[in-house]
Amino acid sequence: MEDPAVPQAPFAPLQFLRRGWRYFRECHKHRQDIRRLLENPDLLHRCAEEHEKLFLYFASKFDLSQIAFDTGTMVFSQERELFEEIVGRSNALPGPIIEIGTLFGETTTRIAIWKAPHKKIITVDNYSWNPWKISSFTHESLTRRVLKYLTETGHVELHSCEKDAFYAEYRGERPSMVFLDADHSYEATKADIAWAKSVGATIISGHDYWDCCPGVGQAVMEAGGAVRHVGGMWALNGPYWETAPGKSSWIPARAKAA
Amino acid sequence: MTGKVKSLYSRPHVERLGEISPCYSSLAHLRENPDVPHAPFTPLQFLQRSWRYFDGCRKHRQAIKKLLEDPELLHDCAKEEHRRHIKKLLRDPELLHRCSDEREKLSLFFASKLDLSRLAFDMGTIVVPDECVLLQEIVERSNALPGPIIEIGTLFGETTTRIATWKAPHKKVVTVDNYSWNPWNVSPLTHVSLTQKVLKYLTETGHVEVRSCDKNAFYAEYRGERPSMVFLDADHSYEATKADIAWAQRVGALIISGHDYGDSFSGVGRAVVEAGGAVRHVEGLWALNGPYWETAAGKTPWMPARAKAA
Repeated sequence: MEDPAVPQAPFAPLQFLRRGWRYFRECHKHRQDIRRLLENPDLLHRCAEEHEKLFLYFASKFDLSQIAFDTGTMVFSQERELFEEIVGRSNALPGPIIEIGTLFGETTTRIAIWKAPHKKIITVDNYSWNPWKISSFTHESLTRRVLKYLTETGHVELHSCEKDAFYAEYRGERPSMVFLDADHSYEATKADIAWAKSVGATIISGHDYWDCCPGVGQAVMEAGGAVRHVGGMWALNGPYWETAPGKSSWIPARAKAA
Repeated sequence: MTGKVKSLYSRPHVERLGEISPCYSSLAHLRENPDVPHAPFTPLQFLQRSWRYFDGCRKHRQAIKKLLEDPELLHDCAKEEHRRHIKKLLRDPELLHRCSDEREKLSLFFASKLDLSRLAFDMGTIVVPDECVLLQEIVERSNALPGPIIEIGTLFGETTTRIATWKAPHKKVVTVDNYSWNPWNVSPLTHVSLTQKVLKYLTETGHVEVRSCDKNAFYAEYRGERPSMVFLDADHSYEATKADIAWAQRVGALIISGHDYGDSFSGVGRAVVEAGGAVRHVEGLWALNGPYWETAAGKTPWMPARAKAA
């Protein structure tokens, strides 16, 4: 019916109503907010342009009210006692302490409290998992905040990367101790222990040797067994324990296995 | 039906609708000037389009009625320059709402070109590099003076950590908070737990003493050494800041400083001016004029605010 030669208006009235209907309905629904933002049109434009960043900004103001602060870290005092002893032993050995699995820096902070002043801690995490279910960005930001003093004063070196990438690139000193508390699958724990041995770590220990994480136990047993195992905390049998001072108080797992 | 069409076609409605679309403008123009040639429209087309327009108006009369409640907003929303941006924000109404709620902070952010991704974590603390430079200088000055550094308003321990990084090893930081406010809207219990986690190393190694109590209770009970520095960053009302400064002066604090000396917290500025003015004031950070700044150790290339005021 319409003459195709006649130029069309940008929107026919009904089309406009249809297309604009949702838009204006939403505008009306959110009129309070839009009106306030329109007081400063430049702000409105910037908010729209940077809406992805803003989303991240608002998302990181999370509600922690329901969060258990100890989830994912050492909760038993016996574990802490054993850990303190192991850190104390590593103080007498050369090389840094390497922690695989920073989480929120709770264990890193404990190690820092117990370690000798000169000893450095290197801690590695890719921030792919946390028990609070907060975003990777928020997780890393929070961990950096927890460890801020220790990183700024040089006690702790924080590596935000895959542990495999860290392993491949590590050219540092032979570690006095490697503490494994990241991926608790059999394959990952086996690979972690193999790397720690390959760089000549004097003490190899870790967390989550529980029935619920059978992979850890299996990998530890295959690598020589645990010289000590309290709660979820374990220390791997190895040459150090043959000559270690004060070893008599422990019954070596290797002997037990024999 | 005829009455409704008549009403929609009546002058005020068409004029208002005319503001939101060139098409409606055309219709309004044609209604006003039926004799003026309007090339794209033949009379039949005009009738057809008018019919469709009114038919649409009839179908969506409720919506139109609502939209016309605020013609000014409708007009702004229809503007091409805003439309694209509003559409983007409307994809996430929650985001739009929060942008609107926090528009003052966001305006400041966009003006200062800080990293937005850090803003949530830095909110309520010192974020501007110039403020950090001044705070570091003040902390380093206090290192040469006897007595602890007292911080009123721990929040999440961010500034406490900064102070601890800059302070002399022997100096103690005492930090006080009642955990009644935080920008993340977490419960006081979570707030205190998180702050304890952040400050764990510093408290366990004796660098920092965390006091979880009301600052007025702390003031009343304080029997410690004369502080080398008091840093005020809690309640920013005029009355509270005045009381905080008065306490710091009473216990003989050598350096008194604080945060949030800005337009948003005019109470702080007023209390500082009344107490002698700021010897230095960078963004929100301020250091109060006082006897220390007259001494040789306190001499500074800064121009004292007291002199300026005189």
